[in-house]
Amino acid sequence: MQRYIKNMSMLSAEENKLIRTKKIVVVGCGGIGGYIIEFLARLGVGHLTVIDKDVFEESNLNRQLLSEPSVLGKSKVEVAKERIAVVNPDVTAVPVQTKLDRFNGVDILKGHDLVIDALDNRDSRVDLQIVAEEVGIPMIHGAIAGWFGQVSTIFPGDRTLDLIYRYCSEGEEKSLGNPSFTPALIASIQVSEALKVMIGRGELLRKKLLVIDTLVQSYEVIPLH
Amino acid sequence: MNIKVKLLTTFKKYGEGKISENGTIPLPKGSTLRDVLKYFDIPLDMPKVLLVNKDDQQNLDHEVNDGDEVVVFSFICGG
Repeated sequence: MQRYIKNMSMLSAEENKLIRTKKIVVVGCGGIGGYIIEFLARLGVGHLTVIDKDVFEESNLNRQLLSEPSVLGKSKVEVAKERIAVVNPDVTAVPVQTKLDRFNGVDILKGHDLVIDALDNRDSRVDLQIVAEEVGIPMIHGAIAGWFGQVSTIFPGDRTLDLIYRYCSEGEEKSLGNPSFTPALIASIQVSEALKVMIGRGELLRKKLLVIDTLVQSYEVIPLH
Repeated sequence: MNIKVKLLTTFKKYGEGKISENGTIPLPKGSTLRDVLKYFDIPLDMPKVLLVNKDDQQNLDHEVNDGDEVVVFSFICGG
């Protein structure tokens, strides 16, 4: 298929076919989530379930790819579904306008191959880690704060967030804000991790945390227990 | 004894000129995690992720040993 011809050198024909069969949940359709949805749709992942309870607000316009003045007040997941249809009609998009938590999470995640964390707070991420473990699927974690960002790939049982989110409740993004470029950077790395999980090839950020500081362009992989 | 230290993100600036080329700082035997933070003048009450030998450690009285690796970086959870 001509659409995927530029994928062909880095992915085999079988791998290209394989990702067309995969079902991914993206939790959060904001800063990070907008880019993740765009990248996964263009990559040709077969099915995307997109979760977010919110509508677009003016403060989203500085960084959220799916936002523009004409969609303010509109459901983020509906805009995401429309964008996926525009970018790649081959992809099945299922919008779910809700807040994923410990109670509804299993029903939402079951039947999918992996989940991508594009959330914006600690508590929801900890819930997502619990639910992903219960369903038995990998979770690709990503977060940003100002110039900084982090990524980790978490398999059931790893509980990586227990190490980095145990003691704090509020992140530095509250004081630093979030610019236009760190969401795209972190989303790109998360999608590369998701692709490697799907095709079973490459080295994952499992039991490791990639910590990025774009102010000094440092990319440190921190080993974790 | 020598402690290997990595200060990242907001904490990077606290390490300027204080960490040797091989990434270590000298501390007396019996020093604690609090002493490591004090060495760099890092405010003790500043929210942070603290890892000692790949594991989280928020007990500032935790004694560090020669060769231990301490990593300090920001608590990041935006999206």
